[in-house]
Amino acid sequence: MSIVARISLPGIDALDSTDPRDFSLFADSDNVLIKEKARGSQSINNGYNATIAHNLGYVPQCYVWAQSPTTGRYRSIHGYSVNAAWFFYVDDTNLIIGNRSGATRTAKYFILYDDISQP
Amino acid sequence: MSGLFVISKSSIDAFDALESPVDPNDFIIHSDYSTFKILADGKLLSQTVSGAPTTFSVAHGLGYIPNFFSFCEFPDGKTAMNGQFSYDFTGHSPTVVGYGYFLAEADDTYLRFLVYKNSGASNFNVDIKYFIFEVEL
Repeated sequence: MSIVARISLPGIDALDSTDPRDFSLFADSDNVLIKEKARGSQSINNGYNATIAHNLGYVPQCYVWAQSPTTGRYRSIHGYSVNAAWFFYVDDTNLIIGNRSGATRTAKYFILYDDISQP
Repeated sequence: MSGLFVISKSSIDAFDALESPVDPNDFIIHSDYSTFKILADGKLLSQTVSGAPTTFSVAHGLGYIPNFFSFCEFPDGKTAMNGQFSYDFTGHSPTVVGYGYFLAEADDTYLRFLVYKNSGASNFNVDIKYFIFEVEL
């Protein structure tokens, strides 16, 4: 029998679950050791920005995925460009997601506690 | 019964760091916060790009849209993460690398990797590496 280390999230009995989503650490697989603060989904009209408050007082690591206006499938967003169909940026207080794709579509985001201004 | 598991960063005393207010950045891992668990990873080798785009698909079978990262290695050895999507690829010259442009997208059944060949370029081969996380979009 192999032995694995699993650390469940608050409110989860580690012995009752085998779902990786219930764990902070799930050593059955490799882990990217971020600390997740929040995740969410937001429908954004074309030409508008969504503002998601994180109120951390520093710039946190964030990831955003958004729907293609044509296929509806999700693609990750990188960078900030006025020529881009989607963009996002983050400051000490908010995550801002902009939709210039030409249609109302949904963006999904992850805000991590990890401070990108730290060395 | 609930407990706590933490590993503090180098030079930080874990006991001191657990006193309120707790700063998650003091820890390598803290059991109150979730991580990204890699459910699957793989590599597509020597995939021929002949169009704009040429699409390569991987069935993930999860039944939901997963968080994923992917990377494409072009023939000149440059490897790039899947990129931002633009208004209109046909109206822009791809500039990330000399060969083309790399996008990836997900639905609840497949990951799809779209590699765009520059206008006038010859066919070329790429390797694509992907990581699928348990985190649901």
